[in-house]
Amino acid sequence: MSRNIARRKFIAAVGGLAAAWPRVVRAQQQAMPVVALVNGRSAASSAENVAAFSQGLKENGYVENQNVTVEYHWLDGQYARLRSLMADLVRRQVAVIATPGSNPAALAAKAATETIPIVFAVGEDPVRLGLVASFAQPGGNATGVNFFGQEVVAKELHLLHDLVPKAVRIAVLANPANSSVSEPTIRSIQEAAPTIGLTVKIITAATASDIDAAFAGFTSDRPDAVFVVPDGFFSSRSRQFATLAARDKIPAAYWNREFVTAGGLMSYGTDLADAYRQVGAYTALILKGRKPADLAVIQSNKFVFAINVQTARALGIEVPPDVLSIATEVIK
Amino acid sequence: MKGLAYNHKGSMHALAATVRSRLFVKYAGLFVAVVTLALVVNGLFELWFTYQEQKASLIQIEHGEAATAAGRIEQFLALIQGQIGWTTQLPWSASLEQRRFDALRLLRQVPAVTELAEIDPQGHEQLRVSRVAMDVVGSNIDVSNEPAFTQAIARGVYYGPVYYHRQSEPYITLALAGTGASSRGVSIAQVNLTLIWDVVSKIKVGKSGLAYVIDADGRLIAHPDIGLVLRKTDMLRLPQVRSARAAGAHGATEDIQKAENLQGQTVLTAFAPVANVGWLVFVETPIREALAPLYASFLRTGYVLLGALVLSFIAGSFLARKMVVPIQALRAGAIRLGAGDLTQRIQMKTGDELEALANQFNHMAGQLQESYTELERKVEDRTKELAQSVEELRALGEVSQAVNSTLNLETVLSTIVTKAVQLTGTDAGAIYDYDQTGQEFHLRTTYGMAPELIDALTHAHIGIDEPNVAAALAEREPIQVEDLRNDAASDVNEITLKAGYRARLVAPLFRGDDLFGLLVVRRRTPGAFPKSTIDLIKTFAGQSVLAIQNARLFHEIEDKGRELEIASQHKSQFLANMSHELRTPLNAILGYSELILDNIYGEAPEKMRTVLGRVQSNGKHLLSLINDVLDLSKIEAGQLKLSLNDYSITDMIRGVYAAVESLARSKRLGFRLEVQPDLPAAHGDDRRLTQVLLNLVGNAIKFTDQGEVLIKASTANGAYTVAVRDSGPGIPLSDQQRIFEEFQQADSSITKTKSGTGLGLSIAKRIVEMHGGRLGVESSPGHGATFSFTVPVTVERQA
Repeated sequence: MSRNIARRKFIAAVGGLAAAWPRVVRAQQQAMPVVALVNGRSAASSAENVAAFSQGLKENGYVENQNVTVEYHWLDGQYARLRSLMADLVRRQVAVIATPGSNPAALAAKAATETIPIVFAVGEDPVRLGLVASFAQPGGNATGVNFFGQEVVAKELHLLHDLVPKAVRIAVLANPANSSVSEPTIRSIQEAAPTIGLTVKIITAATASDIDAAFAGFTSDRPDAVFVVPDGFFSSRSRQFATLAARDKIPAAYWNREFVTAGGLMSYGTDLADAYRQVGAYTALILKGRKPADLAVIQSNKFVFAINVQTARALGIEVPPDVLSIATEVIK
Repeated sequence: MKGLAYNHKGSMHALAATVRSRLFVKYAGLFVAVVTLALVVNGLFELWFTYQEQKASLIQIEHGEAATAAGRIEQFLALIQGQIGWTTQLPWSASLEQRRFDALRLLRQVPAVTELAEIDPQGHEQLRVSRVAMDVVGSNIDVSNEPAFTQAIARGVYYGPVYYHRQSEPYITLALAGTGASSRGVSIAQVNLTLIWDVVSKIKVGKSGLAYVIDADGRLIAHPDIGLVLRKTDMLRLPQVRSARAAGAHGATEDIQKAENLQGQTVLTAFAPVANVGWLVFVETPIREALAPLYASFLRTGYVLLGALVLSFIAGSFLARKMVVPIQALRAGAIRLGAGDLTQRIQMKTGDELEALANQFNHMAGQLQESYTELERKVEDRTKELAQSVEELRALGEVSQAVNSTLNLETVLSTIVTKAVQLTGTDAGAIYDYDQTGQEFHLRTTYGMAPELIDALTHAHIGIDEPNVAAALAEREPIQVEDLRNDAASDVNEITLKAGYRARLVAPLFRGDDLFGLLVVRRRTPGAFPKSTIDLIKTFAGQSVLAIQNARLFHEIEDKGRELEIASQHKSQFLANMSHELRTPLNAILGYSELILDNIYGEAPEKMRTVLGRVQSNGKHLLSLINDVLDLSKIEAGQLKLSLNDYSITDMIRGVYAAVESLARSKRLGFRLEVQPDLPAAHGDDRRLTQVLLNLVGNAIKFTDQGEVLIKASTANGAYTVAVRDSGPGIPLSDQQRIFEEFQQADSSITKTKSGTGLGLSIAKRIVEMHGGRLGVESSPGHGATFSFTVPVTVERQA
């Protein structure tokens, strides 16, 4: 850059093209583009993901508050706010709407605008969700990351079975407000469970008190283990899940390692933070002028199998060595 | 001369002003130009080499990066292959559960493998573990016909083609056969290649250089822009990829180093092949990045050039000033010298060649000054000499004029003596006549001599034996006596010394061998006479001889002419008298003989008549001869006068025609007239002109024996011409002049037969000439002759 300016200086000095100067200054004074990040989680639980998103932006040359402004909209489970929020974003004509890890936000954005670029990260098939025409050629104003969500729940169930072979009755906790995720996920679990000799019971929760109520219900009808269906809001309640599961001494399986970090027993799924990074990278590319229609949907392929050995010990579970050997992350 | 010099000076100053700045600019400009040229050339070379080096090094770096990446991909694949190898080591006797965890561990260790299937030696799938799906144990699905199985069995290892999961994620199937006796079987792994992306995307060459990988089919499988990979971009449209695919198999280097990439940017590119799978790793860098150092270099060169320009301008100006100022001083000095100020000296203390040059100028000026002085002196001398020469020439001219203009010898000789004395710067001079009979010299003319001296010398005897005279005569050269006192004593010397003269120069006057006299000059101071004086005296001597000779010749001719005139008059008078005296008796003879023939004195016998006839004819001939002689003598004596009156030319001609027609007829000759009808009335002596025409026609008839005689008359330019043409024998050219002289005829033999006095043409010619006309003849032997005369129509006065 300095060399560039030096060159311009020289050209200006030699050729008298001093007019080249103001153009550079003007470019720097131009208003920074605004990126709106919309997620169902709470701000407090999202520091790691925000860092990953910023990392992604940086990979393609954008730094927050230097040449891009990022507005974070944390719904904290209040998916109902999405409609008005999106309307506001569209009215203000933000540069990009990023919705990493949130199907409802992605779908709401897609419904709200056909022009503002949307960068999503969804666990489900974005084609089936109607976000893109195809993985390779999204075609519309949306593109992003497809991390394996509902597809891997059977695998997760199998791992839970490997970790706690005695657990047969499984309570499946799902957020009905996030039906695009919960419904196919529940279907997958119901299909997979019998093949390994498990029975499932579906319990729903949409709020923190719902979660409390669900665990309270286990005292009367106690399952051998709990299987938590992926949901943005649930992600932000990881500590509540861990506390309740520990209190009731119930093994629980999650889709994201942050639950395990918070004290959950195990998790299996793609690395969500990595998906945030990829969303950040795509957002930057779009800011640079690339069209979402031409940016193929990335498939997140970084799988994390995390086990909290401490939690296991507290639950009186002896982790089989074979299972321990295949875990990617072991928290002691 | 002075005015011219000033003008010259003025224009020189004007010139100097313009020249000064030009020289200064030339020097300074040359300096700047040399420096600039050197820097520009240097800069260009530097730029060129920098570009080439940059390009080469970039290509080298790219090649290195590509090779490294290819190596890492190979390593990556080898690692996976190695890891999968472990699963094939297990004997089939082990429990499937054990194999499952081994497989899961493999998945954990090798993130790129998303699925692993284990096939027993019979080709039945015994195990399938996946990151996504639930593990499948003992499905026994028959895959023995799958290429992954057959090829792995055949070759030990199998790399399948790149395929895409959900159309976008690149995968490869890697199958490996077990080697142990109990572990025969095949492990088939699905390997996600997006992990290669990390390898590829980490490759940075320069600022924006990047790497990408294509598979054996030319499709993109790794690129920093993942979107391009996911869209399965076909890279074969890039020429560098096609060229590399053709060359890569043989490990050859890049054919194309510069090409356009997918975005249409011009890039420098290099590649390296990945072993086993036939993939190619490309690394490319935009050409502008290769050029970036060039811009820096360009900038640097520019600054250096600018600085050097300023410096060289200052240095050039300084040097030019150093050079120009002394040169200027030299110029100023040279201009002043050129303007004629030779006293000018150039002051210069530069201590170099310029000072030497200035000194040279000064030296030159000194030399010029000297030369000018010398030249002026010489010019003065020459001018004096020239004036002397002019004086001499004028004197000689006067002498010549005197010699030519007057036949008075006294005047001429006096002039000669006077001029000789004056020009030679002597004091007196004299010319002596030579008396051949007395063998002595008599004083003839003098200049600057006192009467006493003249008197003394007039009476002195000066013989040819006088010592100095004798020497002069012997040598025919002037003899000088430097001092008469030292000369041998003689009367003349005595007299001369007495008159106060000391030196003498004596020149003899010779014409051939004839001695005419002496030219003497004397000087009162003794001493030798200079050569110029001697030469002059010789010249004057020559002039004197000429003058004396001319005078003598003139007198002789005058005397002879006078005698001749008198003789001629006597002759003419005699002839006139004689003719007249002869005619009277002849007329009597003719008259009496005619009376006899007329029988006045009785009948004359026939014989007598015959004789008398002859007397008559010879008498008539004699009479005509006498008449002619009379005419001629009258003409020569100036006694023949034309009697001028008006006459008709035509009548004159017709009269002559009538008179001689019978003569022509008697000779049977054709006789014709061709007269221009409108001949004017003339004025002249028609009687004499008739005589002339009669003579011509008579001659023509007389000398023509056959053919014809023609008289032609015409007029032109106030004159008329009468021509008489005959067909006679003609007159040779050599005789044509002679026939007009007295007593001459063309052929003497003819005269005898044709008779005639030979005076007719002579008289005719005189008559015509008295009319102011001409008489001439045109003839050649055998072709007849034409005599013609041309006379003015009106003759007012006798010529």
